Amino acid sequence: MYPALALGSFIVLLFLTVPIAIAIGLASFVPGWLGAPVNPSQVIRTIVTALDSFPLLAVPLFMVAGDIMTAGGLARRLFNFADALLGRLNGGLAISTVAACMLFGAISGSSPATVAAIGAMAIPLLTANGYGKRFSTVLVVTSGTLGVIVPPSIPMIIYGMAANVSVSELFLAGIGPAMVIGGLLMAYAFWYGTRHKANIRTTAGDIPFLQAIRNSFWALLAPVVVLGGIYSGVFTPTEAAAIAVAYSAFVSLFVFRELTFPDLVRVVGRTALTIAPILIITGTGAALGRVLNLLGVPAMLGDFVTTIVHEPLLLLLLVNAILLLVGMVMETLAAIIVLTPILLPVMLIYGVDPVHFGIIMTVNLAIGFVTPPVGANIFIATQLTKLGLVEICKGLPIPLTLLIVGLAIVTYIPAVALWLPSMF
Amino acid sequence: MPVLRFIDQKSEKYLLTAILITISVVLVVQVFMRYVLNSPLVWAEELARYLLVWCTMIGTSLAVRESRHIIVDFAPVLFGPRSIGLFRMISMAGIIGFGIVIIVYSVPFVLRVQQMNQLSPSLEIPIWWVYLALPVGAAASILRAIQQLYLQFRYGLAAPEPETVETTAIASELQEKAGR
Repeated sequence: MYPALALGSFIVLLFLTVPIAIAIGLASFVPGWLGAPVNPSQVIRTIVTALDSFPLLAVPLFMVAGDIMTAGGLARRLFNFADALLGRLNGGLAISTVAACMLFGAISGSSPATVAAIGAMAIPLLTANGYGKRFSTVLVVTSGTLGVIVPPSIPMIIYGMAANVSVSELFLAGIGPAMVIGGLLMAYAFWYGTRHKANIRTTAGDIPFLQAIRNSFWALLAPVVVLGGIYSGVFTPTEAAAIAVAYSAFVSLFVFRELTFPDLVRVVGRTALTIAPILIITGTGAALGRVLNLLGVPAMLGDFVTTIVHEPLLLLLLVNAILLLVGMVMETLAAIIVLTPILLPVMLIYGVDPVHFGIIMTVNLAIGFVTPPVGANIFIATQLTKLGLVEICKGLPIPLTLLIVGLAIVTYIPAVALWLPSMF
Repeated sequence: MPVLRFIDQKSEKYLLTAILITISVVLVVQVFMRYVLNSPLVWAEELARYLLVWCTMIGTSLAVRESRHIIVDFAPVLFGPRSIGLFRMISMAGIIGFGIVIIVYSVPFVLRVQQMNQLSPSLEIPIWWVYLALPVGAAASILRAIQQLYLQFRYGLAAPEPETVETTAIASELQEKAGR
């Protein structure tokens, strides 16, 4: 009864265009007001403890780092490197675009930021060389999901907090799935390139290979430092994020000299605007998750699910369907922080590994960035290309199907995610 | 009144920028001290966490001012463009309501913590300074929401969305640089 009231009030507030963070916050007070044994000061305390968190610090820092890399020319060099490496293949420039998203994803943890960074460079270049505008846009929109699947990843950080799982381990587990999904999207780019070979001009060779490597050396070193530092245990993900900020600032200021110090401060100011609405969602989201937990929702859900589903595989299918649906309408971080404490206990009953489940959730909700009506990647792309929502959606079926195939592989072959962490 | 204009336009944004830079610097220095000089800064992590709490609450207010909060704008699409103004008012009312709720429950909480006179483990600052972020951020958000409502009554919805302007600016900047 009380959980239904909380969720009901949340949905009503959301429909009334109350901001998601605020709607979640108000909904977490509702059961207490109606007499449930949930004290409002518990809600307040949960908000503060959720925010007073060392892992969470990595979220704003990775966002700052990503924006500095974009403004300071690191993202462009990663793209040029990818093109020098893969540009000779059929559809080479498109394949390089996917690869560039993966490289950028290895320093940024955000999917929309990846679309903005790579899309702003790649889409004009793709269209200028004979690729269709819709194809180019959709390719970037879907490849942007790699921003959160390739570690570091903001959704994984949030999941790690909510599920009490090691973020470093999640970061290791993300690599296999990123390869699978990146590979599928590259195959799609190759297929398109082969089919439209006559119209496409290749750009490979515009910059000689060795020169491209020399130009991009400092940019390529960034993911090595960030991920290498985390995996080798030299620093925590949060410290890695701070190092990423410092490294990208240093390279932009003194090596590439594309930013001056005042530019740098302006870039951080611009990032502050994207960070502003995000953090409070994790605070109120944690509160709602806690309230639903206190009301016994995980146990109820567990009882219900165990009576109707007996196979772990079937449960995963069900959870995938639910998460895809949630991802379509819900903001990603809010979904993770509210749903993890509710779903994870049920998954544990069926013996699903918590790290594996974190990856499943991340991939699911990453797909949510690509699906209308509230796909953040599509929204960024409409701003970059002036293509309408409907026009972009017409190009989605094939790459979106590939993403779902990737999700199925990641879900039903746990080794794809868990093989790498098990080596350490 | 240039001072007031400065506070109106820049206060949260500058504070947030300063906090983000401070957090990055402190954490980088901490890694340096630990690995290179072998004398870890015990207070660095704590300071960064406390700043994050403040960063969040100031950000909440900034997001109200800049219309950055994430909303699901399904209803205005459903009811047509003439309903946009109405839904914006409801949205702001929600923010004000939330702000009031947070203030009502967090102020007694902050006072209780203050009376306990508890100090943070390594910085040894009063813990209530951290919790104070909640009522302060909520109050600032309320003020920003009232300001938005006032602007809407006064000028309607004619003002351009700051977000679109800025994002396209970044995009064109990047496209210029990408031309190789």
